[in-house]
Amino acid sequence: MSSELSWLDDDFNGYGPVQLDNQEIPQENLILKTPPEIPAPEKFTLKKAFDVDTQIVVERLKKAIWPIKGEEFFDKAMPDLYTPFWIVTTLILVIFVVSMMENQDVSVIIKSSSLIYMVSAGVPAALYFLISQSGYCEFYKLLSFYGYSFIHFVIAGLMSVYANWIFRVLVWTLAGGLSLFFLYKNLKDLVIGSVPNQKFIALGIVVAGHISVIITTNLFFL
Amino acid sequence: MSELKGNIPIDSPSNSQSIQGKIDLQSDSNSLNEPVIQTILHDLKRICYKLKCVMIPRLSNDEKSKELRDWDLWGPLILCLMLALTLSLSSDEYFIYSNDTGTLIFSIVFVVVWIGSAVVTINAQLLGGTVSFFHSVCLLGYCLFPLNIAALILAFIGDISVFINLVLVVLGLSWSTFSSIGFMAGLVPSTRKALAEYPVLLFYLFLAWLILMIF
Repeated sequence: MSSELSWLDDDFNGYGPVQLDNQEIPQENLILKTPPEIPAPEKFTLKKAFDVDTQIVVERLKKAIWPIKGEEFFDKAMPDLYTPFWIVTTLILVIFVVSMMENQDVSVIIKSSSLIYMVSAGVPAALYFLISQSGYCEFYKLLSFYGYSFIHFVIAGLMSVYANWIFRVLVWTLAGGLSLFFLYKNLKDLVIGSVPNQKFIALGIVVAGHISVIITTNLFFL
Repeated sequence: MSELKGNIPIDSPSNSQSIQGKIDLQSDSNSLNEPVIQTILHDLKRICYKLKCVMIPRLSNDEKSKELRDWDLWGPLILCLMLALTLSLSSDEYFIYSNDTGTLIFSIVFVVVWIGSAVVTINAQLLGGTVSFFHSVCLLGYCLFPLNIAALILAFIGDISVFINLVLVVLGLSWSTFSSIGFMAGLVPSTRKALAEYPVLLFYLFLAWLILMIF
């Protein structure tokens, strides 16, 4: 064989370990590092859901009222249910107070509490049912976000003391828009990640809930 | 009548003494034998005593809580019924709606007082409060007294002036809220006082608004 092809007959004995320049010699006994433990999702209890301080509640309310800023809402903490529950209850009382100024119908408290408690629990339940078909999310998280979105309606309700229908339409439309934007910003990734083909159904459910609250409140209660 | 007689020796280095006496087993405090009117008066006195303890501003929240440790629900029930009856009987004169308004107002006040007290108490417990459920409901019920007085006064003089109505209701609301808010805030950690106080304010505000609208 010619000298150019003589390396084909070489059995490569006697060369020793190949050491490339600027490389460390690989060690024989490698200590395998265990992969980092992924913490299990925190188990929900009612006491944990109310484990908030005044300062935290105030911060979250500010973020909810003006959702334009790009901050993470719960900041890796567990969603709370204290603020959503009392926002929804305050909304019912605000509607009662404003409606009594005009039409003095005491039954408004019964009708408004039925509607608002049903919507604030029913819409998250429908979303949870939709998302859990092909994904995973915690129901209390949806309840929490949806409850926080009602803060805009509380403000709109307080401003409805000024009994001008054009002003009320503007105020409630703006409140509905901000509330929907808040929900879109915080639930978009969850919904699109879980049910990308049904994102418009989820949007429809949320919009239907908001429209029912706005129209019923303005037509029948205020 | 049955009696016990005997000697109780007292050990003393200087002299030994003993107590002689008798115990009448049919004592006067046995309420099973006393007349019904006496038992009722006895319970009413207890209710009035607790009302005084809750309403007097100079008592601290700890002292109030201590006095109400022996809780009862008769006082809150009487006050709730009094308020509900006052508002429902007065509503027929001021509301233009159906005859059922009085019944509706009675049921709304009754339900809101009891469920509201329960919800406020559970809220305080979930925030880390260490109070017994009925102790808190008892105190919130007794603190209805100023609003009751305001409603009773307005039932007689509610026609005179809207300004007088407003002043009376605001006074009643302030007194009720002031009496109960310190107690509720003391139950929870200091970083959560406002979270425990807000529902109490909402509770009395609703009742005050109802009183103002009815008169």
